[in-house]
Amino acid sequence: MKALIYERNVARFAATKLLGLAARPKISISPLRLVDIDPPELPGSDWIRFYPKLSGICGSDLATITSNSSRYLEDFVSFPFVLGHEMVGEYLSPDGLMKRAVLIPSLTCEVRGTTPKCRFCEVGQPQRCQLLHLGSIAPGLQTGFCKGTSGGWSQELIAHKSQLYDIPDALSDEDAVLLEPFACAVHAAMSIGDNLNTQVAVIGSGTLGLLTIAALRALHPNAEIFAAAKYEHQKQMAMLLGATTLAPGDNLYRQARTIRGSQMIAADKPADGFGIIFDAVGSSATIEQALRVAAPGADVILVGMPKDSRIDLTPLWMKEISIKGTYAYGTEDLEGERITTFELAARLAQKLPLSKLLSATYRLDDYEMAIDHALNSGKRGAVKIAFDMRKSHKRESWSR
Amino acid sequence: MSPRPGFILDVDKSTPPSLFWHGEGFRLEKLPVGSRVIYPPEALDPLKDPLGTIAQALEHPVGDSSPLSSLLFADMRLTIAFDDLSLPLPSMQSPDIRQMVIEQILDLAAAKGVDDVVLVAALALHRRMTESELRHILGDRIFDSFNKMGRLTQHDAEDPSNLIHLGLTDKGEDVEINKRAATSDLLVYVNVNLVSMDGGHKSVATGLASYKSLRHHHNVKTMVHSKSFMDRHNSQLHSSNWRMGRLIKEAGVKIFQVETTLNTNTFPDSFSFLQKREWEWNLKDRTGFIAASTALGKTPPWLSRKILHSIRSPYQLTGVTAGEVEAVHDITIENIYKQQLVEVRGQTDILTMGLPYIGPYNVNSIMNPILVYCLGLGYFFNMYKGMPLVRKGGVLILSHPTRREFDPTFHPSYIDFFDNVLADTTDPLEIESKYESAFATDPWYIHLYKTGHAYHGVHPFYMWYWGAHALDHLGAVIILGGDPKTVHRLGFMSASTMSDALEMAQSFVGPDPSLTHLHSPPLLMADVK
Repeated sequence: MKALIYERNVARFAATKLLGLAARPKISISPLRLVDIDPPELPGSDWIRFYPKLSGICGSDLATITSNSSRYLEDFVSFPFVLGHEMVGEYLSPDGLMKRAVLIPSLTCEVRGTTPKCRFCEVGQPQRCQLLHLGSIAPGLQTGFCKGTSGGWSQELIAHKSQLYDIPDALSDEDAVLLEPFACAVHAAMSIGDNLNTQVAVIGSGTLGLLTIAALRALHPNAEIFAAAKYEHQKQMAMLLGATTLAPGDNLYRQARTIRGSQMIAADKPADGFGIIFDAVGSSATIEQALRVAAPGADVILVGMPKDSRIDLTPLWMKEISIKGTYAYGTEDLEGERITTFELAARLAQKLPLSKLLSATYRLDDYEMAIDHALNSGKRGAVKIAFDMRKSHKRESWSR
Repeated sequence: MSPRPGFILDVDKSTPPSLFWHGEGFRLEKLPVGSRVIYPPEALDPLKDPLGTIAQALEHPVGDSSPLSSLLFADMRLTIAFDDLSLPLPSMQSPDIRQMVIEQILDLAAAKGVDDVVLVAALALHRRMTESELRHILGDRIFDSFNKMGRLTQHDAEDPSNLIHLGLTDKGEDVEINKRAATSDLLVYVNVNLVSMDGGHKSVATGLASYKSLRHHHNVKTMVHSKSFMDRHNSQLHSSNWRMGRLIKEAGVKIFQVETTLNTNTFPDSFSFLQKREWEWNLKDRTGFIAASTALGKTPPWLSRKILHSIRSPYQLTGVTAGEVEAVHDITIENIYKQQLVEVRGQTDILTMGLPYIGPYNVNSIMNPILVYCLGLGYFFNMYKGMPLVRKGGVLILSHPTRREFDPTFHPSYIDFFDNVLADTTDPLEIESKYESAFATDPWYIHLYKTGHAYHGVHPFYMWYWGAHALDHLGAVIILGGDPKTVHRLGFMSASTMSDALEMAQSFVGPDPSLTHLHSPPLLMADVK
């Protein structure tokens, strides 16, 4: 089968890191290669074969390819691995029919068959599981970062039965491929509780930022959501998905002041600000911006995977800000109902135009073009780029 | 040879291109055959003895006023208020006319033994002036004498301890003005009347007022019904000010008004081409134009601005009148009309105009997009008597680069107005009802107005209301050479060439439209019959 495999190759890793990866020709120097390999063996009877149809390119994938991901994650991956963890695909059900499903990529205690389960998996918080190296498969925090499972950027992978989320007919493949990142956004939006009585800012209007806006709007209908978007298409999408106000560029600092009728100490230093800030980018610059536009006592929530960062934490200390990460998905408490984040996300997704975020799809053979498009999605008027394993023709297709 | 009156040129094939201001530069545009170009009258001859004329005016006031010297006495409280740097434009060469008048008033006060004298810059909600700007207006002698004693002040419309509420007009308008001025034995107001909107009761009732008072006439309804606000008798802005002025008088505030008029000798010799009609340009004018436009075209905007704002205008005095406010102002308006009025027959489908780098609210600063709007749709559009130069539903074509540039020190609330308010709506009434109060009472804007050099938080709203009559009247506005995104935010269309602009305009006014170009500089006012 065809697969895009990421190998441990120090020379290529270093070269990519050194040169950066802004342009397509350089993708060829990264440790990513298109290969023809055998599908992985099933490690047990609870495992089945899964055939991706659409598989998205995520920010964490790009960070891996461009050698920008944190070294902290080194112990939570096993090489070589096939990338891809946002996917919709098919599997053969026991009744002999092919079923559509989204894969929940977390490789936690239940998937690994670890007994007893860790205390987090035991209570429905698998996103907090740190025992990602034990059990029947190789280390890896998710499918797409694990040697033994293959990944979404291939024609076939293996999945534990608990990883399958059967999707309703109401969701098209193009909607469903966004369900995994949307579940991340829903989990983030649920993390602020249900008594939202402050203005919220969302920094970053890529896929995760836009989905966070959509989740906030769906779960907190009265929320005042300020979106910091750079490009015109992002602004339009942010408003479509529920942002109340757009804060272009540096204006977020001024917005932070204005919403509280406060003062500006300096051009990037409002004296008051947003009560909750979601950083859907995770760079040093955006985390620092979040801390600066935060009101004293505010919560800063990191939704996007942070990079190696150098941040001036003085405002965090001086304004008594809480900074918190939200990762993946687990179980949520929705007005007394215990519900998995994926189930909640799927419910909400049926009322949202998620597929509008899918800007272009590519064949695996055209991975250099696809990754180039994803790396430059903002500039090129795109949001989400995905691989389409249904395709036999070569040229890219546009869903919008 | 006496100065020639205004002139209307009918464009034919041999007519040279017309000069348009284009922000910090110029454009030469060939207008369609059959277009009209309105040229202002030439600069009037100046008064031969300005100092003597000032002295004469102070001692021979008009109306029911006594000579200034007879109103001064030893133990009195004397307040001298004066117009701020928004007038004249550009700033005039030293000595400024205000300095010349105030020096004579101070001499008379000193001769009478008046010690308690305070100078107040009548800012209304304008920004506080810098030391160098005050020195330019008043001269070093006055500045040094009064500033160090704390007797040179700038009106603070947000200082409740120095405001006094004098009552309500018969229309229920609050009249709240500077307390020191209102409680003085005599308030002398020294004005510069650059255009017919200035002066009269507007000097005190606006220049020394608070937001509580100003909001009664600086609002959309008043501005839409001021047709135009350059024509006092058809301006609700002025009717309101006149009601307030009369109430101020009835409340016992004794005002001695000094109004001055200038000719339109606006630019120094190196820019002589700006003062002339294009077909009369000589070699020096042509060379000057090429040199100036080439140099400015190759200079970054910030530097062009710096160069242009350093120009000091050689304005000359054409009139000084002192005494009772209304009697003084009637004479002033006659003088203004003598200099600026041009009779024009009939309206036009399309009106074109070039907007310069400077307007009343960006002296030594950036002409931001809201000020571009205000200068075009507020000031220049309203330079008419009778009826607008352009017909109802007609098109206004403005030439200006209209960049998204702001001066954060002088215009902080403008940035938020542009980014937040205009992103939501450009409708003046909606803007007024939805956003004005929050901006007007915003503590940060108030802080910057009181302690820095910022226009009041509500000021961009007034700029938008200034253009409300034009917005109501026009079918479309096109900004020639304007940044498309910025122009779009203003609610207008941008065109890169005049022929594109004319083509776009025809979709609003139909084929074969009539076109009139309002030529400036210098300033002119159209008397449209």
